Amino acid sequence: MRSPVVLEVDSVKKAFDVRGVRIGVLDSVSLSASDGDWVTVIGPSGCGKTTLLRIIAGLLEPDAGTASVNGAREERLGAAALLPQSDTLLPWRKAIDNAVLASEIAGVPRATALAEATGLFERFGLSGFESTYPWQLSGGMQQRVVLMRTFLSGRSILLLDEPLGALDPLTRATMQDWLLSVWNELRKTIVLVTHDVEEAVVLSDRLVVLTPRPARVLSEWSFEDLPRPRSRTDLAFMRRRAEILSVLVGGTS
Amino acid sequence: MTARRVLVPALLFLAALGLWEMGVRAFGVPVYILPPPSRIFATFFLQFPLLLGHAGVTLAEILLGLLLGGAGGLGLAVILFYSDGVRRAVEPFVIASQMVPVFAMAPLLIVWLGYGLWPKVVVSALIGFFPVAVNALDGLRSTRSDMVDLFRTMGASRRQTLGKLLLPAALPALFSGLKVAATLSVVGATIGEWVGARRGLGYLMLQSNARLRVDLVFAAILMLTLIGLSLFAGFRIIERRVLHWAAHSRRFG
Repeated sequence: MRSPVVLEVDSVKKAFDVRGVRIGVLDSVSLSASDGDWVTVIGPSGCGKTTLLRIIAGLLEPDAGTASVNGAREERLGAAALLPQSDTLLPWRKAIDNAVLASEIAGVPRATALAEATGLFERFGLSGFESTYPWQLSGGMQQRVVLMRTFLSGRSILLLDEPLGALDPLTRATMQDWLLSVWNELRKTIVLVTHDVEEAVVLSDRLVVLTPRPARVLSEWSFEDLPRPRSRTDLAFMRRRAEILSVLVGGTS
Repeated sequence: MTARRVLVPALLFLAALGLWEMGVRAFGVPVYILPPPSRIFATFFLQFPLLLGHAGVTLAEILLGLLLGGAGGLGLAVILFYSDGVRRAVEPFVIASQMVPVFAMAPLLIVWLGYGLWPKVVVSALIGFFPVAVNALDGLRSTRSDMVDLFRTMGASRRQTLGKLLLPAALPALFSGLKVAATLSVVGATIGEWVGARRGLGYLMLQSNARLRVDLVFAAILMLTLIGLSLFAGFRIIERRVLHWAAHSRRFG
């Protein structure tokens, strides 16, 4: 049985005026995600992936086309949790207070929020670091706090903008495996933006490849034939990665 | 290192005092023109109860002025931050108000508010308010827009965004303004007392000057300097405690 579609982007167009010059960023991008799906969006740098996430999050409106979250087109803002690309931990809050920020804003009683977060610190490999400030944590740990805040937001749809982008390759691979197991437990719908093909193939159910700006959908891939957890050295895995990479570099499907 | 940082200025200070002492004695300068430092210190300790009584009044004026000016400055900054309309209407007046010599207003304030505490508090507040407003507004304005967007996706109300993001992020700038205001408010209270007062260090200076008690004038100046330094140091200590995070994070605001 197919899960209901919870997120739909249909032929979205977006252009910006940069010092009087009209720059097309998205030129007809469509994608959809069913409940519990992991959809990844990949494309060359600056192709508009972040703009796409901002439109889904409700921070921007498309010039043409539609975006809907949980069936609603108008009230997207606040419907999905966004994890921006930049460093977004509040430096004056301890790790645990950063983790509960979204639930605090949603009005969840502090004791409830703290209890829920404390339970997750262990799962996120951060137990003992509840009372540390962001600057005392390593890059990987900081990013886990950000992910925890996103998971604790009470939203079922998570928009992740290169959440592992700033990490070194080794930490990154470990975090991918870990993120996958967390997702398995907590079952959220995820739209992940990345520029790392391997990451996309390790993690997602489906992949949407975008062209350079203005972005169109170049090709779509499904990895449902590759059972999780996927070994990075598995032949089928490596072949799929190579195919996607050649499409991404070659620019044709 | 720290010892040397204290030692060198201390030695320089002592050398200057020594030179002053010897110069005054060698040239036989009368005490009612320029007393030697030894005499000033002696007066300072002998008249300490008297000085302390007047210092209490001046300190109260300074602190009330700071409180009023600080609260007013911060309040204005928040209003100007949120309302472009109000900002355009009010900004010219705010700037023009700084061109009005506040000290020239002091006699009028005496006429309006009498010889008591309040005219001095108002002078103090009027000159302390501007650096606080300018710095706080700067701090509010430089809050990263991606953080504001993140709060929007969390469904934060305007008040939540102000309390949990904008104000904490503006704290370092606010403290810069408060430190400047603290220094200025000492000047403000003293001048307020010169214009008309029955108590306070400024009043004591005028009285002593008229009676050629120059040593007491200097002792009062010493007391004012100590008040100013302690205020500045106090803000530094609070700042270090409250803003411990600021030293470790890239300019967040």
